[in-house]
Amino acid sequence: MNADAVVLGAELDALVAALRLRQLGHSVRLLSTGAGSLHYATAGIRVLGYLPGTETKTLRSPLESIDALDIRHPYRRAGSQTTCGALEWFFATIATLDIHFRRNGINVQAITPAGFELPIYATDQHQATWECVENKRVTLIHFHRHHDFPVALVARALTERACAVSTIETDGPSTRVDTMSLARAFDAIDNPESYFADIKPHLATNTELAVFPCVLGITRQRAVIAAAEQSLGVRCLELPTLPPSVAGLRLHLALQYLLQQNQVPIHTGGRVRGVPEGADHHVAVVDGLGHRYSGSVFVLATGGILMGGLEVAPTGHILESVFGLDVFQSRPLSRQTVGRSLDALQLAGIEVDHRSRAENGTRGVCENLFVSGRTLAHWNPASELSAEGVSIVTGWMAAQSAHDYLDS
Amino acid sequence: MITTTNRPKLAVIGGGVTGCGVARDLALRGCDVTLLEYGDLGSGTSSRFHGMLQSGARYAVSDTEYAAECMRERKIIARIAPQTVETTGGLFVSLANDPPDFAKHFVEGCKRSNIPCEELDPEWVRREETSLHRDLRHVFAVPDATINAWHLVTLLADDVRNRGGRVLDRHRVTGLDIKSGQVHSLQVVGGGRSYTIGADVVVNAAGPWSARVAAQVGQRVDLELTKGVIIVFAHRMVHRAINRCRPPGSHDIMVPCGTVSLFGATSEIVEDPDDTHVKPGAVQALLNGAEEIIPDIRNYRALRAWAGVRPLVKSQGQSINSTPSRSHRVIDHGEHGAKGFFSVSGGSLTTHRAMAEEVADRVCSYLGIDEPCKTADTPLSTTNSKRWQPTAAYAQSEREQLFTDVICECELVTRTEIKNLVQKTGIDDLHDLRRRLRVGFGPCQGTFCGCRLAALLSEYNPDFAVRDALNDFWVERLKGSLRTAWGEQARQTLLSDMVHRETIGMRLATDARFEEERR
Repeated sequence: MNADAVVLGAELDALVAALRLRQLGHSVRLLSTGAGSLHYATAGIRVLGYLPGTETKTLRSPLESIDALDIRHPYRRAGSQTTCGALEWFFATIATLDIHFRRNGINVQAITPAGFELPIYATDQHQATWECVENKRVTLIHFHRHHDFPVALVARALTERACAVSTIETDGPSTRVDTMSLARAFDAIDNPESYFADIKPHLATNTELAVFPCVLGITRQRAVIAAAEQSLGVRCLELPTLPPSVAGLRLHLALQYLLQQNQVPIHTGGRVRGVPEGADHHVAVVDGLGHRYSGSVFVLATGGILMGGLEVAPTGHILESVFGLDVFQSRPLSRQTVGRSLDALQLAGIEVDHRSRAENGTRGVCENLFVSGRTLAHWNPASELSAEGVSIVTGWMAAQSAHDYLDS
Repeated sequence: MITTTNRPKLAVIGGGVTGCGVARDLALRGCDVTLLEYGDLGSGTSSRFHGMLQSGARYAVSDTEYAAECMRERKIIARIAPQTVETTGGLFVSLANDPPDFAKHFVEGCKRSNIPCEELDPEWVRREETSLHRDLRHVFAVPDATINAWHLVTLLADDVRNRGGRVLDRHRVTGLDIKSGQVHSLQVVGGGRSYTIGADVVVNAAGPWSARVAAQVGQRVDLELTKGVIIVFAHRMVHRAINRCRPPGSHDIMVPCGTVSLFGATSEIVEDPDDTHVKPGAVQALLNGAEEIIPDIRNYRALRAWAGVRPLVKSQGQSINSTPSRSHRVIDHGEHGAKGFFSVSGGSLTTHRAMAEEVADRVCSYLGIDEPCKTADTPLSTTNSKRWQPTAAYAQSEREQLFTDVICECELVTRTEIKNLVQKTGIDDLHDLRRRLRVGFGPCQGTFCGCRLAALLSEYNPDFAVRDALNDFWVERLKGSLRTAWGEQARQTLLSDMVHRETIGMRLATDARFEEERR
């Protein structure tokens, strides 16, 4: 099985890299072992919420703050211009699927399932943010026994922020009430208008805004919300649930659909191993069944330690799973504080040169191996709140560099 | 005979298994007893061990007397508190590099200590316990068992309450008054106020902290504090408690406990009873020890590592390398100018009842009370005497179709269980819930149930501080799991980080240090 480019991973950066390479005219194959961390993501696209070490101060303009990051950070390697370009490309690309994000160039504060704040650069157009609810009369509509939407926490947080909150507990459209079953049931519902019309009589008369957990359909979200707004007569928004994230899944499925439309085969299967030819060149990967996938370039978007692209040995040494690349890690992994220990795990990863190619210690640069996303060293998505932004930018950069290599 | 009018007032300091045992013994003899614990019941040494209810076989060679006591007490606890005990049985395995003649001494020691001991066919054991090292020279079966220490402590405390005693957890003793060489009263801070409790007798059962308690009134309790680190693995990789058939030391016990296995323990002399800091080196040392028994140990998933501090009796002239004594000692401080003040130290969870009996005997003889000990024959009164079984919760949720009621998927704890407990006890602390119901004990270490629990608690308590509680719960779990962050647990730790910081919107206090562990 042969393709110009083989992209490894199911992360956002993998989907972005595959899409971009295809757009640039190459044949692309995507190999993944599972779902990717979008299934745990919140509804929006986070670009940069905090500068490391100053996590009490939300950044207002993330794109203007990139120069304050560590010189080795992926955004610094990309530079502001490339970063903005990649993000613009991303929003334009998904707009072709009629998916539109709200963004004003600054961070807004999303409401989290625990009722806290989360700085987000672009939110789903139906996502509840603190701006949307402030000083509003809000009705929280949640589903009986759906315990991944901790309504008590959300209601309390809204009340503390001067919203008038009432809650309605109702039966979901399915007998099973986990997040995914509810979302699938809303996709399958025949007549959503009448479902919401049954809720209407319970709505407080002066309600200005109805807020649901983010389960209103996976593929039919807009139709379901339109039906809800029509039947209830008020604006309807969604608030993220605890994992799994329906919003993340929607984005994942949309991008996957786009890839399929563009004839990119997606293989989901077991782990693969690289087949090297010489010290700095790879010609194929092989899975556990012996299937061989050859390519001229490879994009390593395997999701770092979190998604299994990097493995931590009991000794604390970190190994790269597919190609056995050298991994940057600060030693020792165990530091005095919890935050630094987590940092050491998060910041570990593959170092790359200015063209996204893997630097492999003394063995030099891998000329046809490009790395993106959580597998990269020197960024901490949990402390910066930059997961989607860095994934998009580094996935896009890996694709550009791979394209340059293929064209030369 | 005690009458209601002349009942002397007794106070017990320390809500571990010893303190609760002493309070129960005294309550059963009709005394007016108050138990004081500065944190949560059983949150210190009592729960920070490998979870084994000893048959005594471990000490059959080195200390026959103590071994025999363990066997007697093991039988009594299984009789009076069967719901806390899982009779797994224990194996002593002799491997290639264990002293070959120890097996002979072991069998003789068990015989002298009245511990049933049967030699098994190594081939049969290899089939039964597949994770063990294949090169088994001798294997002996003994009646070791495992025990849920928190459950036991809770039952003991409930029994004290049911018999008219008071149990005051989260109450700190700030002062002890002695008038004319005689204990008079205690200063106590708790529940947002401070007050004085009159006491004719004070029993100091504060475990590793007992020297500090005694020092408040210028009395001495000589302890040897040793820190023991334990690693928890995500599976029951053995069916029985596994010991090395060699002189007892460190890194040699693997115990199946609930849904997990515990491997322990290290032994390091410490000065500070609060020193439960796990050093990375200790974890590596434990893994090396465990690998000798279970060769594939590094490929199993470790959930976390934690430590407890043992309050051992200091014996004169003992070298550090010799086996520390597990015997106990009761001190009557009356000889040193504090009549009515008693301290108890040493011993173990298995022998706690016998220690309590000895303390209560001394206290009663001091007070001139002539009541016999009844603890060995009185079952722990409780409405719930259901025995814990590894699969019970799974079976129940299937039988009753309670899938949506499950709040903690790892340990299968249901909303109903939590609600009942909160309504009954008014608990509003996530750690207290964890110790009673095992929520947050499993592979995800509270990642997915933390918010659900916080939501439940805030329904009952409008003042529940959500952010602080969640942060504390998360950071405490992190401290343990970061010490075993390899393989799948490294991924789990980062997933926990992702869910807490990227989804829920928590911020990590970067100065949270490993050594500042909360009990």
